[in-house]
Amino acid sequence: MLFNKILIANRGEIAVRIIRAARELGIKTVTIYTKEDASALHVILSDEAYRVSSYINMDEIMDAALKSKVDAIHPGYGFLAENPIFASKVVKEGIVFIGPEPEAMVLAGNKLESKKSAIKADVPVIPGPLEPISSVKEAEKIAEELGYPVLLKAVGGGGGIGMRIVRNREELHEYFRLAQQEAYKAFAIPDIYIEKYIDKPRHIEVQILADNYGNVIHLFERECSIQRRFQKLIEEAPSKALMWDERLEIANDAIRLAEKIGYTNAGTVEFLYKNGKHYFIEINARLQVEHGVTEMITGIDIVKAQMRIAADKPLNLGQGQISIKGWAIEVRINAEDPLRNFAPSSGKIIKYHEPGGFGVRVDSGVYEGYIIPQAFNPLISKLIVWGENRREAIERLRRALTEYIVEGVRTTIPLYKKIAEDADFIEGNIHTKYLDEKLPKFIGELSVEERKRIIAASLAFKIRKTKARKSISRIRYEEYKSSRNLNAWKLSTLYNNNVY
Amino acid sequence: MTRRIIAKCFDDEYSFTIEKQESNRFLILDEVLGKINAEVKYLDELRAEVVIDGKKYVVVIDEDKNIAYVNGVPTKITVLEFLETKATNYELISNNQRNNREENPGEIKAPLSGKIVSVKVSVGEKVSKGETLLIMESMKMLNEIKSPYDGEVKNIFVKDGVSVKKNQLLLKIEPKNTS
Repeated sequence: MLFNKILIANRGEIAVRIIRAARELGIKTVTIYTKEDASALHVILSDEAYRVSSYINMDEIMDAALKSKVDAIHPGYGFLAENPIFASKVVKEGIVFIGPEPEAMVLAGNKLESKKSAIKADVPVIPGPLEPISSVKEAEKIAEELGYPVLLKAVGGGGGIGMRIVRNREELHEYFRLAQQEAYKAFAIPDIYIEKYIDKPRHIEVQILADNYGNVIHLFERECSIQRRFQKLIEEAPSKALMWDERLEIANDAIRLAEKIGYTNAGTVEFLYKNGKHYFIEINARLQVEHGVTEMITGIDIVKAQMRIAADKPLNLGQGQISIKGWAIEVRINAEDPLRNFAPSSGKIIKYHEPGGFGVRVDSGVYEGYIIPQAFNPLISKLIVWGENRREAIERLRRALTEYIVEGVRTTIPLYKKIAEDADFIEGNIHTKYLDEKLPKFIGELSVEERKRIIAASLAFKIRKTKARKSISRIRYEEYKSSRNLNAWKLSTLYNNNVY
Repeated sequence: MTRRIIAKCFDDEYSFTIEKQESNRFLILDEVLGKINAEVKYLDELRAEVVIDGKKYVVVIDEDKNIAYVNGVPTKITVLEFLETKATNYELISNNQRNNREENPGEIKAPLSGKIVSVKVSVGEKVSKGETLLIMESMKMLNEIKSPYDGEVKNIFVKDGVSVKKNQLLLKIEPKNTS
């Protein structure tokens, strides 16, 4: 056995995902939870759970780990996943950290140092100086040389923070200090650097696995071009943009970089791609949200592979044994209202039905009756579909979205239904600005349905007022929520069936 | 008889008129969707089934939160109803104040019976179109009465806390252009 017991320092769908891998390997699981999360799915499914004041409180998490006598800690993504201080603390206590070495996290966290490593590994990067820019004057000179538009980026990190597209000199003056302040607030490092701005690129990233014996393999690429404000919403594998030789070239670039920096465990090397050229942007030293699409096309369980590597086992697969079978697409189901600028929608899930059938996978952190807390990231689940080819994957996605019912909160499902019907998406004509360009059209279409819902609700309110007094039997709302018959009846109305 | 409905959903305002056809059939005139036929089936106190253009919408009302679940989609909604508007020939009128203006320019009347919660303007104050003049409570719902045009407040006939009847004169505004 790899480990006897592990602690999962995370919540929601990813904690559940890790519990599943551990359980299949015969490993016991310990989870942590905050006061909002006492009835969360990861707490219910794990063998033991400890309450903490927050998911980033290292001392409390270490206490739970020592008390429960775990052999290893998996950090998931977000929270402490890329925090080298946490990783070092874990190792210091004689506990295995399931992830890369702290040194790799430090390097990946510094965008300019990562870029320098890429150059050393002979991996193409975006034109721009390799040092932070200290003054607006200096920024101006470099921007002139590179030619507008340019991109300001924070040395300390990604996620769109401190990032600004600058189209002319005036904008540079306006944004430079703003970007510095933003970066300082988020990463405690105000350093900004400049790159040539690449307009409407595709986002392509390579999944790699590296063991502690110097073996590095890739699991091909994912394309994550459907984004909103630098946040990915839809991912697929492989990418429709790449010819076979380009695919291998990018994958081999990722491997060379991982080898150069001595990377271990699972990681992702991210690139921008435009007009047949690819440019390194960053290394993600963690398990990624979208790892599932790679699992679907390669058949490799990345979380189990992480555990094997962390337990000091050599990779049990050679590059030659890995191939792409079919196509996979993931949509991130967020509890957000696309009609209201993606405002978070918290509250009780009063009805929940997941799609199923061949080629459909749902990695979820919720269930019917669960109350979505306001405090956390809005991702409630990931719908991942597999098809023999991209066309079948899209058809299956549409079918699965039709089956997926989440009532009581608003979700991004209606938006994904629109995208799955969009000709450019179907053709694979996508880039990182695709959603910005298409959103007004999709929102317009969704608003028509919203108007009808509001008319229906208004009529119901109006009639209720006149009839309420006459009603003899009063059905409590709570009864409605718990009534199975009513739910079944309601389900049928959603599918537009008639059940009598 | 035609009625005007103004529904506030989250921060957005939706306006349409309804006309009763037969017992549970309505003709709806919406400024975006145009003419729509709707049929309402009252299931019990908290649930109704509304068929719009052949599609079924099940509305469940959660009284405590002022939320209607429409086919499960939570819809935070406040519905205001204005009786006996003078809308004819299905011509849409964007708000009830405009209707008032046709009779007596400058007179702002109560759209419903209720209580004045707060008067936001004072005599002599310049107001612009869309600016909130006063807030009134009606059937436990708050409603902002907005100025239908740019102008100056001439008279105020109510104060905070008083009860008013439907169509009672609330205040007078002298429109900018017609003065």
